[in-house]
This record gives sequence, C-alpha cells and structure tokens, in this order.
Amino acid sequence: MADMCILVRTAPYSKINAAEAVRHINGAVNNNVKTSVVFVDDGVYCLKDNQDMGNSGFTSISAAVKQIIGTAKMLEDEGDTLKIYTHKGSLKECGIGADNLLSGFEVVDDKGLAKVVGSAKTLMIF
Amino acid sequence: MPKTITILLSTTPYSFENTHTAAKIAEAALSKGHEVTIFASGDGVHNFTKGQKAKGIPNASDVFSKLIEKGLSVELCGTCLVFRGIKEEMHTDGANPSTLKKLFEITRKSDVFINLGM
Repeated sequence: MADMCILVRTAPYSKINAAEAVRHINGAVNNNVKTSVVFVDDGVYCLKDNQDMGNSGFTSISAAVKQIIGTAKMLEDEGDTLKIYTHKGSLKECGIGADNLLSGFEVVDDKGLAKVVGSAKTLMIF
Repeated sequence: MPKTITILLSTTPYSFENTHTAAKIAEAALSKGHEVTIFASGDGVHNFTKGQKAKGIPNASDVFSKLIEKGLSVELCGTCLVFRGIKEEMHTDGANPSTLKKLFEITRKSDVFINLGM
C-alpha cells in the first residue's frame, strides 16, 4: 500500500500543475515516501514522447516523466517505493496510442484506477 | 481526541474560493482543539504576504494572521517563495519558509490531508 497517491489530471504547460506534480513526485521519492503516480484525464498528455520545447524556456514534462519512470525501475528491488500508472479510458478519450507514448508504466482500467487511488493513505491532486 | 489536519493550499488568494475554504476549515478545526497546518505551495504562498489591501472580500493575510494567533501553523514552500521573488520581510508574521521534506513529514503524521489546488 502506498503512503501517497499523486494524481496528475491536467495536461502539461497550460497550467503549472504537471510541473508541480513532477516536483512533488521527486520530493516524495527523495523523502522515502512510498508513492503511486497516476496520469489520468488530460494528465495522460504528460506521457506523450518527444515533446519538443524548442527555445520556449519550458522544461519538457515528457523528459521529466521519463526520468521518473527510470527512477521507478531503479527502485523496483526495494518493493513498491514508486509505481507509475495511467488510465486506459483517458488514453482512449485523448486519442493517444502506444506508438507515441512513453513506456515503463502500468495501464489500468476504471477498477484498477479506483484500487490504486483508494489504497493510498494520502491523495495529492495536480 | 484531537486530530492532526494538514491543508495543502496552492492557489492565489483572490481568484479561487480555496483560500476562504482553507481558512474556514482551519478556524472550525482549531476551535474544536485540533492541530492544523497549512502548507502553502506554488502560487499559494501569495496568501501569506504582508500589506494586502483587499476589500469586499476577506483579506487573506488578515484572516490567516488571526488564525496564526489562534494556533494555526503555516509552512511556506521555500522554493516557491524564491521562484516568485517573495522575500522574508514580506511574509505574514508566523508564516515561515519550509521545504518539501517538511511537507512529507507533516503529511505522514497527519490524520487528515486536504488538497486545495486548481
């Protein structure tokens, strides 16, 4: 059971939420908080690969998420320290197929989503 | 038995109702003897700056100053303050710079965690 579930519900760049989620995910991991991260609703856009920020000054959220997925893989031997999920229905609604998506996370259906969110002690929403 | 309540506030004071909600929850909980901490993150730190002249709407700084006197604990995300150029002399008295480490420490110990953001 995770201590915390971080729910990412908003697309990157239009609001600061996705960037703040990334900051808090890294903070949770650095402070040994067992964390589940779920990208749901428009938050699934964070998982689109190859987001090119050009010289806009924005940090690429997909690059940051890729790094988080790498951290989760690195921590696999330490149990469920960091688990990454996304929601099947949200991917479908946003028209995001596997071909332009990052990899290394679990796709859950409605029931799975409810289980991940419901089993965490604390819920942080971005 | 007193509970420990943490409120994460991450929106500006006058564009959302979150500030009012946070203050009313804190006021009610403190009056019943519970321990309340507001952790202001992101734009939420703007709730805790001195010299706000808001009228016709509850003045965030005044409301929270009164609650701090009643025992409200306030932590301000230090990175968020620096990000926004909010210097220490601008902070509401009793609201102090903090860290993500502290946020997770408080969250762990909390009986109730309330997320008030966008």
